[in-house]
Amino acid sequence: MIKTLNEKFVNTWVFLRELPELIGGARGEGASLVATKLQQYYSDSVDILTLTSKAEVLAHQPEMALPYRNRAQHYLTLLRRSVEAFDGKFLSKLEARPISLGRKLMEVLHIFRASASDIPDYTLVEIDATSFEHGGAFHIEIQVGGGDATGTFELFEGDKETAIDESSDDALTGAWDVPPGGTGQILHRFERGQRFTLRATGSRLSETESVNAFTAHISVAQ
Amino acid sequence: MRIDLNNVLQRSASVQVEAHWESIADSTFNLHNEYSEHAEMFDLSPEFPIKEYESDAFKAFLPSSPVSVGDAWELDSDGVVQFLRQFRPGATTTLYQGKEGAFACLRALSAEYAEITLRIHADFALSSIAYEKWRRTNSLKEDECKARFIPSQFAGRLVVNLKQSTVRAFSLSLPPRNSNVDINAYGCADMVFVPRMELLATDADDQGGIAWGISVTEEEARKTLELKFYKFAEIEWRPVEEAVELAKATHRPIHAILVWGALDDESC
Repeated sequence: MIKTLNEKFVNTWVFLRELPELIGGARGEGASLVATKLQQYYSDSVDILTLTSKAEVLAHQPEMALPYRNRAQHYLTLLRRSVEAFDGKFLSKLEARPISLGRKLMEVLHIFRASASDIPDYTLVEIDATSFEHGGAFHIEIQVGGGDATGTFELFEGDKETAIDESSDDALTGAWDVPPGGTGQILHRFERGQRFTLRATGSRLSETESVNAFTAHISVAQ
Repeated sequence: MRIDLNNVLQRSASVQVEAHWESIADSTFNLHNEYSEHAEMFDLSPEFPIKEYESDAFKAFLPSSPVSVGDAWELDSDGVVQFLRQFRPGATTTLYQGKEGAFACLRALSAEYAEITLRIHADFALSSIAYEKWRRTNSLKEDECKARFIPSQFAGRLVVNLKQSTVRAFSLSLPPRNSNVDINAYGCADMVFVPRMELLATDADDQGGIAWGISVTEEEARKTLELKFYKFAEIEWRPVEEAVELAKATHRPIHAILVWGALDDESC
């Protein structure tokens, strides 16, 4: 791994807190472009990206969404595929959806609404991960539309019927207060195949009865 | 050239060590100041602003067998912790998580002096009446949700006068970079900046210049110590602006890690 990184890549790490300064150009245009992409793809406490020197993104892999088993081997696969992409000529296609170790499970387009009463108005998306017998790692990328509502997205164990009655304190994880036009990321590791439910609703920041659309790209790395 | 430093601090002279511990000056999530109870617990200062040590207490930082310049050795944690407890009695080198250890490297040697570079990972258990009440209210187990102050590392330097068997200079401090402590409390964590947390001693009678015979640079000694803690330190990391230029020049892709805290210490 170390040999591959030293021979095939140029390696850097960046503090999350340094991004505004870097994006502002404090350390040059090239660093600003890379920092802008790091900000754009930011998902969790440790994010891994491979890029060209022009900041074209080859691969994006949140550390939390690395598979449970054989992590070093999977990381090497990510690196190898990045080198293949770098040597190839299909960078423009990668920008829309970079390489990652996740396997696409489902993609949904829905709306969510901020309730006008004390009874929450939930949009529920059931995620069937029963085929992943030995577990895996979810990466759910949420894109909120241009409507009025700000969204809260929470992941629960179980089916829709279970999730509708759960309190937010029981959520496994979530993406909260995602604004119109914004993106949210949910990362969660699970140990066995089972059903989950993604619950979406207007967040406390939304006007009552405001509505918005969202897409969720759900992938699983094993 | 190998030198045996094990018995160079024989003389029972005392060394006065000052402790400095400034308040948290910056943070990512403001955990230390969120409520008055947090502010009270994280209002930290040295337990002993000045403390006298017998010079042979500094043997804790010396190698037990002969070494050459550039060699590194592991330190006995009991010997190290007695110094850290000048800051706070709850100091320990046993970490809840992260890379434990305390190592030293012989950086430079002359006929009269030896300079040792130090790197120590430690943490400090915190508590307060309000915090213990919160723990009881939440029925937490003994080791659950303990409040901790976890320095990124203590970087140190010890200069020993070989002829006089005395400590010429000693320091052990947080690196000055912005995000040099991880704090845990109330089930949350934050990365904060403490401008100064340092143990310091100097021998006012021994301040002449030193002509080192053999030496490695400070940077080389620090790298040797870093490699004792982290395998990934073998990766050639570069600042992002250099990485972009090198990637252009060598036609290689960039492998970039975005992290909340520093990758190469315990601040996150």
